[in-house]
Amino acid sequence: MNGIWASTLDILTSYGSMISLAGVGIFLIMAVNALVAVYFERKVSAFMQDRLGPMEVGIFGFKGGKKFWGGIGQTIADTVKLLTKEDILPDSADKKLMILAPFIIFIGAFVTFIGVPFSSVLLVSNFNIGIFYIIAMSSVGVVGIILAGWASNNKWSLYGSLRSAAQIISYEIPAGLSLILVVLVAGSLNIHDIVGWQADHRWFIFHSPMAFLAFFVYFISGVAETNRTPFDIPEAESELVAGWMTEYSGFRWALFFLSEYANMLIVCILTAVVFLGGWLSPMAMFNIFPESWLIFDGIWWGAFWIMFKAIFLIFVMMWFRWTFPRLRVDQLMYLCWKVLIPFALVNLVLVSIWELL
Amino acid sequence: MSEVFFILIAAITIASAIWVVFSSNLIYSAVALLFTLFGVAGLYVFLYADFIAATQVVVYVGGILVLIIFGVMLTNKIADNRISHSSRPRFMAGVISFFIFVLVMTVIFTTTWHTGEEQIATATVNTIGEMILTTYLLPFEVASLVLLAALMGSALLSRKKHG
Amino acid sequence: MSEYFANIFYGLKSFAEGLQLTMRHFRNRKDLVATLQYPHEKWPIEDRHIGFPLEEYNIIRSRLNVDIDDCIGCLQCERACPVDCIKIETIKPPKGSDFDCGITSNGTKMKMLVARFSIDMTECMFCNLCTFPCPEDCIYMVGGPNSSKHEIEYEYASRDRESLIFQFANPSESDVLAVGGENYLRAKAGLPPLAPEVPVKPVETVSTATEKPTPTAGEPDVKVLNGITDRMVRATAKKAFMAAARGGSDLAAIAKSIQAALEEAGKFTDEAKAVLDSLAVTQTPTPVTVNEVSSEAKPDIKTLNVLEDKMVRGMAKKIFMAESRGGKSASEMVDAILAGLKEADKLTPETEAVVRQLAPEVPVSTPKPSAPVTDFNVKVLNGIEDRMTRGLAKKAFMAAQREGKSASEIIQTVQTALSEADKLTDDVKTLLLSIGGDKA
Repeated sequence: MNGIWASTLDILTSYGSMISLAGVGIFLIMAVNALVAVYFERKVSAFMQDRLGPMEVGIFGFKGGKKFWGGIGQTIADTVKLLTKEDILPDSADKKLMILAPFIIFIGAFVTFIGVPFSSVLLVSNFNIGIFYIIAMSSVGVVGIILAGWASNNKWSLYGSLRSAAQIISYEIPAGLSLILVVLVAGSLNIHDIVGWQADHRWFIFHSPMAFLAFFVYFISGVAETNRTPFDIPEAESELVAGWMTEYSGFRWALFFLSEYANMLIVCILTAVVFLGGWLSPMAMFNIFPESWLIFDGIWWGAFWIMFKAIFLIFVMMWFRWTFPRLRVDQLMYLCWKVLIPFALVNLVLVSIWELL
Repeated sequence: MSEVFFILIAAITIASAIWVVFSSNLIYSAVALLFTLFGVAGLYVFLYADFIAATQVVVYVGGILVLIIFGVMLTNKIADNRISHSSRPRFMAGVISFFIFVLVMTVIFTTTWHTGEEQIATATVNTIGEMILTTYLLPFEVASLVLLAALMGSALLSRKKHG
Repeated sequence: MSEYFANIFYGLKSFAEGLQLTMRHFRNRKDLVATLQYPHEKWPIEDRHIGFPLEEYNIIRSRLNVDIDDCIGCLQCERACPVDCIKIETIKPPKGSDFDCGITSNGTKMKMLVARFSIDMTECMFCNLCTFPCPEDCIYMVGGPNSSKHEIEYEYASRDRESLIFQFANPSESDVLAVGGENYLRAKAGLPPLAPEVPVKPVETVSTATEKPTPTAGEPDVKVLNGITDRMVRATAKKAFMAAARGGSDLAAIAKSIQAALEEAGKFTDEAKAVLDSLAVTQTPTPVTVNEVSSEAKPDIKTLNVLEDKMVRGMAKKIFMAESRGGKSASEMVDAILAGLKEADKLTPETEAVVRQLAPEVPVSTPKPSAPVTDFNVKVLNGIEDRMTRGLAKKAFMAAQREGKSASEIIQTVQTALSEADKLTDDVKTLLLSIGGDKA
C-alpha cells in the first residue's frame, strides 16, 4: 500500500502533471475571474448610473432577486454567445498574425499568474525575483497589442494599437519606480519577504507618507496599464470604433477580454500584496484580539484576505471607470511623463533618506 | 528532465532565429525575434541567472522588440517589399559563411573549456547589486551616461523647430 | 511652477468630488434606481385625451376578438382575410340529428358547430377587412367603438409564438361527437378516419354487388334517380321524391308518388319506370339474387401486363379501357377483348387464358333481369375513341332516346347516323354490336 501511494505521490509531484495542474488551475482562475468581474462591472456601473444592469437571465432556473442581484447567468450566456459566434478573418488582413496576436496577449497574462500569490502557500512558484518577474511578464502583452492592430489591416486599429502600446510602456516606468520603493524598504524582491516585512512592521501604506504616495502612483499606473478608463483611449466605444480590437469577433475577442480582466486582477493582487499587507489580516496589524481565533489568520484566511483586498481594489477600478471622463492622448502622456514620473523619482529619493534616518 | 527542457528551449530559439533571418516578410521576422528573445531568457534560467532572464524580457521584449516593430511598421511598403534574393552574391556568401562556420567549430571543439563548480541557486539580486556598486561601478556609471546621452538626443530630435 | 502644483491639487480635488458623487449613487441605489422592469412592473396607464371620447371612434385598429357564441360559421371573415390568418373549421350536424347548435345574440339560429376558429396574430396585418363581412358582428377589434363589448387591449406580447395563435373556439368533446364529428376528432388526433357508411346505390353494373341493402340502412337517397337520362323527367321525379321524403313516407309510397307525378306531367317513360322499379326492388329486404356474386373484384387492367407481346398487350388494354368506359362487366370485357384480338389475328391460347383471367368464374346467376335498361344510357358510347364519331353517336343516341325508341332501335339509329357520316369504322361497329347484342 505504501509503495503505491508513494509512487502516486511521486508521479503527481513530477513535472508533467504539476505543470498541467498549475496551467489548468490558472486558466480556471482567469476564466472565473472574467465571468465574475464582468457581471460585477455591469452591476456596479448600473447602480452608479441609477439603473439596474442585467436582471433577466438566470442559471438553473434561479434568476436572482428581483431588485438587485438578478441576471446572474448573463455572463455565461454572453460567453456561450461569444464562443459560438462566426469567426471572421477579414480578407486583406494578415491571417497568421491575426490568429497569433490574441494568444500573445493571453500568454503574457497567463505567464504572469505564475508569480502571483493567492495565499501564503497558494503560489505556483515562489520566485526569488518575484515582483520583478511579474513586471517583466506584464510587458509581453504590448507586443501582442501592436500585432493585433497591425494585423487588422485597418488604419484606425493601427492608431489605436500604437497609442495603447505607447501608453503601456510609458506607464510601466512610474509603476516600476513605485515598486522599487517598496523593494528598497523591504530589502528583497521575494514576495514572501515583502509580506514578511509587513507582518513584522506594519502595512506599507502606513510606513511613510512617501509610501502612501507610492501606493497612489502605482495604482494609477496600474489602471493605465490595463487600458481602463480614464485611460482607455485605445479601446473606448466612442473612439476609433473599438480601437485595436475592432476586427476581432467571437472567441478571439473573448481572449482579449479575458486577458484584460486578468491583467486587472494581477494589478490589484499585486497592489494588495505589496502595499496592503497581502494575506495578513488587519486585526493582526492593529493588534486587535491578539492570540485568539478572532484574529482571522492562517492559510485559508490568508487567501480570503488577499481576495477581499484585491476585489475591493477591482471595485475601486470600476468606480474610477464610471466616475471620470476620458483623458485625451496628450493629456495621458502629460500625466505620465510630467507628473507621475517626477513624483515617483522624488519619492524614491525621499524614501531613501527616510530609511537612513 | 532538465535536459529535455534545455533541448526544447534551444530548439525554439534556433528555429526562431532561422525564421528571423530567412523570412521574407519583415513583420514575421520581428515576431520570430520575440520567440528568440524568450528562448534566450529561458537559457539564462538554466544558468541560474533568474534576474538576468527577467531583465532580458523587460528590456529586450518589452522595450527593444517594441521599438523594432515600431520601426518596421513605420517604414514604407514593408509587406510588399521582399528582401532581395538575387543569386550572384549568394555563392560567395555561402562559401565565406562555410569557412567561418568551420573556423568557429574548430575553436569550439579544440578549446579546453574551464568547467566551473556547479552553481547553486543563491539570491542573485543581492550579489548583482553589490557588485554593480562596488566592483563594477565604473561600467555602471558609464552605461548610465550613455543612456542619458541617448535620452537627450531623442528629446532634441523630436523637438519642434522654432521659427 | 506653482501653476503645476495648483493643477495637480485641483485635479485631486475634483477626483475626490467625483468619487463621492458616484459612491452616493451607488449606496442609495434602492431609492435612486430609475429603471422600471417592464413586464413585471408597470406604470399605471393614463387616460388618453384626444378631444373626443374613445367610444366615439368610427373604427379602431387593435387586437382582434371573436365572440364565438355569435359565430354562425359563415366563413366570410376567413375569405376576406388577405393574409389567410383566420382558419375556421365547422362541423355540420347530419340531417335529422337533433343537436341544437344554439342561437346568436341577434336571434339567428346557428346551423353548425364551429370546432376551430384560430387567428394567427403573428400574420394578422390589422387591416380590419374581416370585421366588415361578419353578419353577426362577432369579430371585431377591441376597444374604441367596441369598448362596450371588450375594452381595449394592446399589451398582448408574449414570449412564445404559440400563445399568439388565438384559438377562439373550444367546443366540448361531447358536443363534437354529438354533431357527428368523430372523424374531425380522429383527424386531430392523427388517426385515420372511420369508413363512412355507404349509402345504398342502385345496381349499375350487373356483376358488382351492392354493399348491403338493409332496409333500414340510411334513407332512400335521391341519387338513385340519377339513372334517368332525360333532364326534365329527372327533375320532376326528384321534386316528387323530395316532397314525398319530407312527408316521411316510406319507399314504396315515395315510388308511387313519383310515378303519379310523372304521369301527370306526361313524362313517365320506360326508363323512368325501370328506375322506379329498381328503386323499389333494391330497397326490399330480400336481396334480389341478381347479384350475389358478391365482391367480384373489378377487372384490373394490370392482369393484362402478363402478356408479353407489346402489340397484343397494347391492343388488349385499349379494348379494356374502351369497355370499361362503356361500363361493361368483366365477362363482356373479356369477350370484347377476345373478339378484338381475334380480328387482329393475335389470339393465341395463352393470350386467351390470360384475358380470361380478367373475369374470374362468375356463378351464372348474374345477368339481366333487374335493370337491363338502367345502364343503357349514353355513357355506353364512351367506348368510342374518336371524338367526332363519339359526338355524332351520342347526338343520335339522345335524339333516338327522346323519341322513346327501344334500345335496339336506338342502336340502329346511331349506326345509321354514323354510316351516313362515313364514320362507321370497324371498332365502332363492334362496340355498337356488343351494346346492341346485349340488349337485344
